[in-house]
Amino acid sequence: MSGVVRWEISLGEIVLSLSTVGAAWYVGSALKRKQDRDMAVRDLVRFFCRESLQLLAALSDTFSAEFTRMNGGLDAAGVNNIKLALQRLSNSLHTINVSIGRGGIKESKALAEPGGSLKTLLDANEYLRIIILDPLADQTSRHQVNARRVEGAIRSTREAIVSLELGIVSRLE
Amino acid sequence: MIKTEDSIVHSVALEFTATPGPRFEAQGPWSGEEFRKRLLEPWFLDASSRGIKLVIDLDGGYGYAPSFLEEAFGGLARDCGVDKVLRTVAFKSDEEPLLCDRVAKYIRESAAMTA
Repeated sequence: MSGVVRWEISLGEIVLSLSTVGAAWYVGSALKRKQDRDMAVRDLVRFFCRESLQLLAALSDTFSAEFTRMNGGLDAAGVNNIKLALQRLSNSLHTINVSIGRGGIKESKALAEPGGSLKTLLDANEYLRIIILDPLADQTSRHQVNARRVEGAIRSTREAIVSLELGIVSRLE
Repeated sequence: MIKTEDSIVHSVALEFTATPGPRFEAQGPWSGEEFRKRLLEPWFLDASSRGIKLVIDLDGGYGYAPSFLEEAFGGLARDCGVDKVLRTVAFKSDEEPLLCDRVAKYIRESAAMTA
């Protein structure tokens, strides 16, 4: 007799196989959704990091231009231009803060903790605001704003933005 | 000023100035010290005695100096207590939302400035 192979599969085995495949598909698709979602949040944060870098460059340009125009001093229009540039930067950083906070990516907590790159960035921006806005408010020292100190603070803020973006990028790998 | 049953909203720009100044009165007009003494403390005492929320609207004020905000709100916390101020006062800014976080930070860190 030639060999005859008989396959017998019980209904229970079929159900078990289907449920295993179904569970694997569900877990796989859930992981994929989570990955896609995290990727979207990270892309969003990176987009606003780029925007913040542009606004920081605009602040630097505005600051230099106003000081050059007024020969080291500032008039009301110059003060307003600088304050507006600072406000735009602040709002862009706020959006980064909100995106990381509400995005729920796994590194959110670490970034926002002391020593985390988001906290470092917000502190750098705070220092930038202090050394620009405080002398502007105190009219006795309006014309003594130290432009080189401001440029140093802009550089620190730029590095903090870059560090945050690099931190996000390295987690994509 | 906007009053509701459980809160009262005061605007810095409408009730004090749209061009906030330096930290101390001696440094120039519209200072944080002047704002705290003349308006913020009475608003705070009124709200806390009535058990309602005091909401400070920061919109309309152009370019708050950090020292203005620290002197006004950090100073209030140094006088009246950090926890009490954090429980009673809330902030609103659509123009620059990060300002609200900064002011809350000045209140939380105000105790360290006196230490």
